[in-house]
Amino acid sequence: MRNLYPFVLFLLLMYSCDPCEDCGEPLLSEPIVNMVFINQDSIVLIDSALIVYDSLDSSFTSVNGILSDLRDSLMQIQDSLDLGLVEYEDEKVALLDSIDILKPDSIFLDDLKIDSNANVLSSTRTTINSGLMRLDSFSLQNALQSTVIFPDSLTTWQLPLSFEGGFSAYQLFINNTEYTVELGYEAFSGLDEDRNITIRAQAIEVINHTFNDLDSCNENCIDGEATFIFYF
Amino acid sequence: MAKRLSFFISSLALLFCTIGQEADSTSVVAADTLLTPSTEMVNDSTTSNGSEDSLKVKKRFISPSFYIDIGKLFTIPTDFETKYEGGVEIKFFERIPIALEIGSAILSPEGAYTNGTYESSGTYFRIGSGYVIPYDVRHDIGLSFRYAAASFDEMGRFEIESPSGAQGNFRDAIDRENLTAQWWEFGLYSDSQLLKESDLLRYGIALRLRILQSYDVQEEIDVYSIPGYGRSFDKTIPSFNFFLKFKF
Repeated sequence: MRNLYPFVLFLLLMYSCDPCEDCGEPLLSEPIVNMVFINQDSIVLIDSALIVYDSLDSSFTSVNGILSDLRDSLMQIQDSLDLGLVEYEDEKVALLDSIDILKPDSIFLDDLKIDSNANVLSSTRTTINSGLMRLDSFSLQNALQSTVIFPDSLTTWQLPLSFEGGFSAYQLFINNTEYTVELGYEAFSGLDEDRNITIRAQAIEVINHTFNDLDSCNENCIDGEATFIFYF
Repeated sequence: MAKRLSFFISSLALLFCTIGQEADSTSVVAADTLLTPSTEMVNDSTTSNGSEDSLKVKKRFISPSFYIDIGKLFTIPTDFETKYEGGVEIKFFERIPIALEIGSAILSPEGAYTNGTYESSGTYFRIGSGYVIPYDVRHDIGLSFRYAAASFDEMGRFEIESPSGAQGNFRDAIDRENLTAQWWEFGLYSDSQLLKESDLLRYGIALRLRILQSYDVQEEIDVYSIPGYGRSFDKTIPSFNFFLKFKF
């Protein structure tokens, strides 16, 4: 038993030691909410343009088809004329006139590069619809009111929730246009795996906004996971 | 860190000193027991062979004693915990002890909150019994069980910085009062006579397993340290007590 004393004391002291090299240092963390901003107005314009391009493409196809038919007929008439059937001479003149009338339309439509431009517009529409854009700046309407400016474009914007009050009001600038969003939520504290005390949020909802439309979070409306899509 | 190291070294030094003394005194007892029996030992005159006197401990009906936990006194100079603990014991027929232990603790473990400070302070008691088996004339070993309860307060401060820079640092406090916890302890202990000529002073160790029964669970940030028990998320905790006993 005697020999056990130091061993047990050693184990106990080691067990009870609770070292932490950086304890007391503030944690760099805040609850965030995901926001996606979609320029719906641009999408509507692009959709209109795509409809026009689709119509032009149909016209181009139609004109080219008619021209092709006229040229086939002209070849047959030319064959008849080569055989000495001079009565087709007037018909040949009429066909040539028709071709001359349609040819500028075909050239004009070809110069429009309908397929290429339509593809660019379609690709732009996909990009806008993904939410990729640049948010000029935002500020959280709290006591500090510090404006955060962003240099890059992003698809999803992770905006911080206010630590206190269960309410966050944002002032956002997109292309020099101001928008506002107000969020309500239940703030609570928790511990992360490194035993840092963190502030979390649940039941996040949009109380008010100045965008055109909104797809709201329906489930898992907790910080880090809740996503709101705004259309402007 | 330096304080913790000095605490550890001084604890070990004291333990080795006492063990050395125990070894010394035990050897004397082995040689001299028959020549100089203590006042609590008598020659058994009924033994047929006088040269093979056997020793019997007088079985007193009640043996009161009180004791202090020496190990906990070493926490006083540290900055992460301060503990005091003592107890009273009444032993019936030198076999069945009834014990009441009380203690107080101020616990400030550094690892409680990484981004803050923490302090748990309060008092606790243990009450229970056991069974004592004399190992030899100067050493006892025994089994013990205790029911224990603590009443304590928790205090903490923490700070969080905004990585986005959109808002200022957040500072808040945790302040809870009159929390309670209950647990059980089962274990072994051994105590020995400190002085060769007297049974007044004894010292020993107790090895126990603490089993948490319940505590005031907190919904958001739970209780971390319970005075007298340990960390709340450890549902069983081995413990060690090094005590000095004054026996009457």
